[in-house]
Amino acid sequence: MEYLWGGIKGAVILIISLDAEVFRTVLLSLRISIIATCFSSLVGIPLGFLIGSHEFPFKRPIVTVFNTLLSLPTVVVGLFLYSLLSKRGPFGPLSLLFTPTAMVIGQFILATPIIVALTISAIQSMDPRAKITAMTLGAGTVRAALTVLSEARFALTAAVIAGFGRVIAEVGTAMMVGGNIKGYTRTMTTAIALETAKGEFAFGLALGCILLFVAFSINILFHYFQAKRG
Amino acid sequence: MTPLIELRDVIKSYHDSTVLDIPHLKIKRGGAYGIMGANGAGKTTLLSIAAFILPPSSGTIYWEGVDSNTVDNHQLRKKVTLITQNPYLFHTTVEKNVAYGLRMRRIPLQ
Repeated sequence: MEYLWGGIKGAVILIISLDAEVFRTVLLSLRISIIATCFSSLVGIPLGFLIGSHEFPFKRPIVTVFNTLLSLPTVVVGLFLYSLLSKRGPFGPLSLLFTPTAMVIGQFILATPIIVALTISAIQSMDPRAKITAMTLGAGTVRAALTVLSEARFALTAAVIAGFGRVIAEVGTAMMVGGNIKGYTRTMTTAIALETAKGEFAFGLALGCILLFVAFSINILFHYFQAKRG
Repeated sequence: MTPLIELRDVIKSYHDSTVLDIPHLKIKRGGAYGIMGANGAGKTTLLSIAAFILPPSSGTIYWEGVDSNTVDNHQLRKKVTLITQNPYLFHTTVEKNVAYGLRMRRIPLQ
């Protein structure tokens, strides 16, 4: 018990004293995850909308593939990306391995299927009259699509948050393609794994608390906007 | 006098099932028309096609004598207003709901 209390006390001191190492790691984590989520949203929402709002051959198998990718193991993505980016891989000459860019690519691969699958679900559960009403009122194809997306905004926001939640909390891909380099590719999750293994329990616990706080803050913000606009 | 809307050999099919088959229909400007039919007869489908919301599987629609295939249907859609039996309200303010059609047709709100 003393060991646990000591860790908690040390974590509180690190957070209150605004420890530079802790906050550098937090900021890097947020930067990588926000960039990856933005790219995933830019690709995932339009793709999910197209799949969800159109009928075409092989639609069901495609939706099944995206639903399956929701449980994509992070280490498998890391392994796959590692094989592509390593010196012997096809993208080896780009020297992306163990860089923040590689981590963004990895997190993009993880978040995109979540955003696509949840967007498909959101669009398919929409009232079809939304699109028809927009069109009867003179909206073109693009404007009607934007209106439908606007009507589904809460579900789409939830999809983006789910994608962000997946990448901010993942450790496998970040560890494999980021390399956990201090001050360069060390994120909250990889630092927690490393520091705890080294016996630096307080440092790991401090980052764990901040990680939970970030997740909590994002959900609070989401519910605030939902209540305000709902 | 050229009819406002004219449908010729209009067929609407879903997969292998034909839900609407209109050999010829003329709608004159200023007229009042009643469309009767059983559930699933295709009344809503006919109105959606005449309002250029739903494209027919085959056949031609003329707007004031002009083949709609030769005109941007988005522009034609702005000339027709279809009010359905179950209207849908967008999840926004009443003002924005009322103004939506005006904005789409670029009509000043004042």
